[in-house]
Amino acid sequence: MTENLSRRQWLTTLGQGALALGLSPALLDLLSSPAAAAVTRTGRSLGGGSTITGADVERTRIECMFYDRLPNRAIRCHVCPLDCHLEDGQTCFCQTRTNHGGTLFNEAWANPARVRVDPIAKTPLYHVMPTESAMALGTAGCNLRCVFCQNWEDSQRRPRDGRWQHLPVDQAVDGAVGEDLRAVAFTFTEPVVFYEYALAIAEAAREHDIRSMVATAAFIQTEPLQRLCQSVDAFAVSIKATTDEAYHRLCGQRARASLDALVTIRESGKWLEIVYVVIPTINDDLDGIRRMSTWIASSLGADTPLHFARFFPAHQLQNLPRTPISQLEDAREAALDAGLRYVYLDNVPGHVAGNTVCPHCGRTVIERMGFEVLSTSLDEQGRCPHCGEAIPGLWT
Amino acid sequence: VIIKKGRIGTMRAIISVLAWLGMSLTISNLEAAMVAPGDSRAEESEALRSLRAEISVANLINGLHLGTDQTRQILDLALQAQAIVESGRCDLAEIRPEMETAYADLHTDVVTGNGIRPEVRRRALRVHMQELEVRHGAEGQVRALEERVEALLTEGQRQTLLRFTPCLLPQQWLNEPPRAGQSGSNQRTVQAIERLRALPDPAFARREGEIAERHLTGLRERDHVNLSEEEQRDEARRVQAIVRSARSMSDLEWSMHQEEIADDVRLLPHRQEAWEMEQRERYEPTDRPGRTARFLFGDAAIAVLQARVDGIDGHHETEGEGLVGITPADNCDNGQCALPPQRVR
Repeated sequence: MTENLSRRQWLTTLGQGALALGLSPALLDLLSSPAAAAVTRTGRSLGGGSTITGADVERTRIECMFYDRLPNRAIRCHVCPLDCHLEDGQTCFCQTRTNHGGTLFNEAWANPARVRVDPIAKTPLYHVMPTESAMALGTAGCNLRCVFCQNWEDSQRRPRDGRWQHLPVDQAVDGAVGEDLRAVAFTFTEPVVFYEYALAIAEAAREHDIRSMVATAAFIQTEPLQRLCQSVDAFAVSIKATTDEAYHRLCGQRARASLDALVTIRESGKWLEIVYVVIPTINDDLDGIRRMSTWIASSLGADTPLHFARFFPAHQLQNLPRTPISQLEDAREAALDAGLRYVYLDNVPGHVAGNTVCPHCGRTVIERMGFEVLSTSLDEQGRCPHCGEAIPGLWT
Repeated sequence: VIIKKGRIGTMRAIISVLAWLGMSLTISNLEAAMVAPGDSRAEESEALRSLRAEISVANLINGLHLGTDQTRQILDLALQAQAIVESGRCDLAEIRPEMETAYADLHTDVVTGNGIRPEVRRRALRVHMQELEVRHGAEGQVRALEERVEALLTEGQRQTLLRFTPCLLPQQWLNEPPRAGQSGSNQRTVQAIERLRALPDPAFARREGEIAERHLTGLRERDHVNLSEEEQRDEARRVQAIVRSARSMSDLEWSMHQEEIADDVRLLPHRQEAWEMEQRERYEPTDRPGRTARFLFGDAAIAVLQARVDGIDGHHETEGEGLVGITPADNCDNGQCALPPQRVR
């Protein structure tokens, strides 16, 4: 028997069909068992330094710190200022913290997306053991949505997506010890989202006299940050913009929490350097840069190194050009005029502003080519060999 | 021989000869057209040559990441060098008639083989000394300017200049430096080995020969390295061994050593010594103009540096209106400043 469909019925049916088709991958994902997921991926067996897949995440996750249990197995996460409220089965905005039956688990635990040996200067920390390299690692996920993220392929994915490495804390530290590295850097993506993993590695590394450092946007609440400051030696914090509007436009959040975090880090006495990626037409306003520099000088100290990094088109900001070097130089001049004593240009290898210059006698004390140190004349205490001026930093 | 082959053979031979003659004429015409001065095609060729030179120098200047002051000062020095060279050319042009006469007489005496007349010898020697004086004088002055440029550059920039080879498309190290906080390697070799690591064993076994072949082709075509057949076999074996070892590594081992492994693939061990010697020679001080003058004092460099200076001046003139040629994004000045003017610690 056939029945004539009205135009409205036909459109409704079509819409339902399209919805079903659109939802099918998500439904399949929900319905498929972990075992099935493991079969569909091509990981090697789980072991030291082996590959981890979506199915393994549930075996390697760890319970999160800093969250409240709410009625009906709901949860409120308090690591970052987003304060995510999660019903059972939901995952935080950062994609790494999931409510399983009223307990919050971090799925980025022992699950780094990248592990590399990189110069510490690439973090970028120019006043920390300048000739040393660090084991640099980062997991998938991020609590920001920076439109210019150069590591978006990792930061905008979930730890359970893709093919990552299984690297337990002890093996990470053993790896650094085995390579004779004196530092571990939590970088590439936002360490706040793998907070527990970073903290555990930092604490284990300290027992082997290995320093740890964090590259972050510092979009974190005060209590977890204070706890992190107890275990981490240095922070490279990126400020995204000098106005709330631009900040929000670039990364989807507000600046206030990050600024408060900067003050918290300074108060903790840990080494702090600041990074500002100068993006043409978006956050390159010189007045704003002057205001920011003045604030850094007065609130964080004139000895806080500030890095102006050259922007390269990435992720969703492909339509803008690389930052002109003259513009970076203008920003640097403005920061120096504001009283900051160590202002660098990053991502312009060979430029004279990549060197560390003694603010007292004006002589170059560390000469760099990109992140490679070509020569350094500082003594172990970080004093200028020409005038004896103490350059602040963690030099040994 | 042709006639003996008969009429068809003769016709074929004549056609072949005519075709050969025709082709030779065409080729010689082409050659003539390519070199004939004043010809429009010759001008086109010259235009292309200078275009290529400017592209190559622009690649170098981009890779040097010159600061504003450096750009201005190097342009100034390059213009001075150009003036010196021009003045030397004028001086040479002044003595040219005398040189032509003296050398023509010397040529006659030398070619006839009856000995060189004393007066001819004297004149030839004098003009030759004059010529050398002009050349060496100009070279000395240019060398002095070159030293001033080298003093303006940082050590990193000097190394970039030494490492640079003329190119249309910039090498990756020149154009895409590693960036602060960047997670992935920007080395293509790392990315290639990463893909090979992900291949299942049977697929890798099938492609192993092809990998070595592609590596050798890359060496030949991209790096202009010519290896003997035996060297090629050794090189193929060496690279295959590195890739096999990379495949057998754990993810952690690979992650931590990928850059070194990629360097191993790229750098031919038996060429290393020669390469190092070449680098040392480039550093040897000399009293004649070298790479700096060659790359930074030419017309192409002056054109590129001048464009950069104009761009910088243009940027400063339009400050606050967004960059020249870029559509400004929404004005951020209207937003409330996120940073308080003062904070109490």
